[in-house]
Formats: sequence, structure tokens, C-alpha cells
Amino acid sequence: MNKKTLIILLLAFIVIAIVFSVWIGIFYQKQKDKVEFDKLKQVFSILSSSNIPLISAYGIVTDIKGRNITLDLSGSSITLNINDKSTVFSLERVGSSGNSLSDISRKNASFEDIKKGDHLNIGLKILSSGEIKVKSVIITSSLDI
Amino acid sequence: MKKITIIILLIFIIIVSALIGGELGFLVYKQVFNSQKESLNALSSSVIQSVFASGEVFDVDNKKIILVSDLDVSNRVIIEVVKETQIYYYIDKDSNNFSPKNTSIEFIKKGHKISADLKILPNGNLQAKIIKILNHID
Repeated sequence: MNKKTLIILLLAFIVIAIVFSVWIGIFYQKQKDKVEFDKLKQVFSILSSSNIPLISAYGIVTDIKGRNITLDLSGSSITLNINDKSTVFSLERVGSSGNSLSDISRKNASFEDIKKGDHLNIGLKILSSGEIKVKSVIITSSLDI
Repeated sequence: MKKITIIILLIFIIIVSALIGGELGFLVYKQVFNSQKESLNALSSSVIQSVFASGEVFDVDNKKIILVSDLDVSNRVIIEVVKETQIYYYIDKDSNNFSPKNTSIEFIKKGHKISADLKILPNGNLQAKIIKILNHID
């Protein structure tokens, strides 16, 4: 066997050993946490189903890092990533007629308009992987609600 | 290099590769598992105000409702009903009145179309806060 064949064979063995043991590693851990793993899989399968079209979150912005926003309400907090596809609106009071619908106007806004202390209403969708996707953000701060 | 040295070296390299692969597999799994657990914790916090579900009742007993879409049982949602759950129906067949009326889980039958406002519990179960029955069944 020449040197070149030996090196190729050796590399092939290494790749096969790594791939196989990655699979064994994942499989072994899955078996260890089987009950919890299966439960999480079932939960996210349900939450991502068409029976649950929307989940809404509401809170006060306590931190902004990059495109991640931390919302806080009653001591609970959640950090969400606002991606480029998330739509951002703001609700503003434009009148004082006493009619809550005609007094409020919706304006297009952008991620940069969100500030610490803002009150946000966020529409979420859950993916089967457990990832939380932000679909829409409504800034309601100026309504004083 | 002697043949025996090559074989020992080969076995050693394969064992090291397997250990690295095993550790890599463990890390990949833990990352996915922990991020799912974090998502569930976030979703069961008070920041989540409303989880809206709708569908047709596939099965019901006095504690839970199984909801499906287009009778697709693979895509079902199990909703826990507790004594605090408010249940309303909107259609009174006698008076054709659409105003909401309070009722109990015993009123809900297979085939009812309902919408529900849910809470996600820390264990991942879904608990109904409000259930609205949207159609009438004889």
C-alpha cells in the first residue's frame, strides 16, 4: 500500500469515526432525557400547528442589544430577536373625541424607533424546532395605557 | 514505519476521533435541548398575554378538550380545562340570539367549533382561560 492510499484511508476512517460518534453522542443523550425530550417535541409540535395561529406578548422594553429586545412584565422577562421581516408599527393618539378607535392612528415604524421603556405588543409564531419568531411589533407607549 | 506501529497509530487516531465526535454530538444535542427548554420557560412567563387557538372539538371529557383542524388528528391540540376556565356559547338556537352566555364543559360536544384563549404552563401543557363555542349542534 503506498503512502497516498494510506493517508486517504486514514482520513476516511477519521471522518467515519467522527460522524458515527456524533450520532452516538446525540442518540445517547436523547435516550437519557427521553421523557423530557419527547414532551418538548410534542409541545412545540402543538404550538407550531395551524390550530394556534398567533401568540401575543406584552411588556416594557428593559434592554436592547443588537436586534434582541428584552421585555419585562411583573418580574418575568423574555428576550426576543426582531428580524428584518418583522413588521413594526406604532399606535399614536391623534384625537380626543372620546372614541377610542378614531382617536388612535397606526403608523409604520422601524426597529430603530424602539427605545428602552417603550410598551410593546408583539405577535409571535412558534416553529416546531422551538424557535420563537417575531411576526409583528406594535409600539403602544404613547397611548398611556 | 513498522506495520504494528501503523495499526496502533490508526486505532489511537480513530479512538480520539470518536471521543471528539461523541463530545461534539453531546454539545449539539445539549444546545438544541437547552434552547427548547429556554423557549418553553419564556412562553410560560407572564409576558405572554395570549395564546389563541381555534378548531373543531374531536374529543372532550370533564377535564380536557382535544381540538383538531379539518379533522386532521395528527395535528391536534390538547387543552386542559380547570374550574377557573370561563366557557361561553354565542348561538342560542331558540332565540337566535348572539349574545354570550356562560356555560360549563358538559355543554361542549364533539363537532363544536371553538376558539380559546390559553396559557402555556411551565410543563408545556395548555390551560384554557376562556373558551368560546362558535356553532350549534343538536
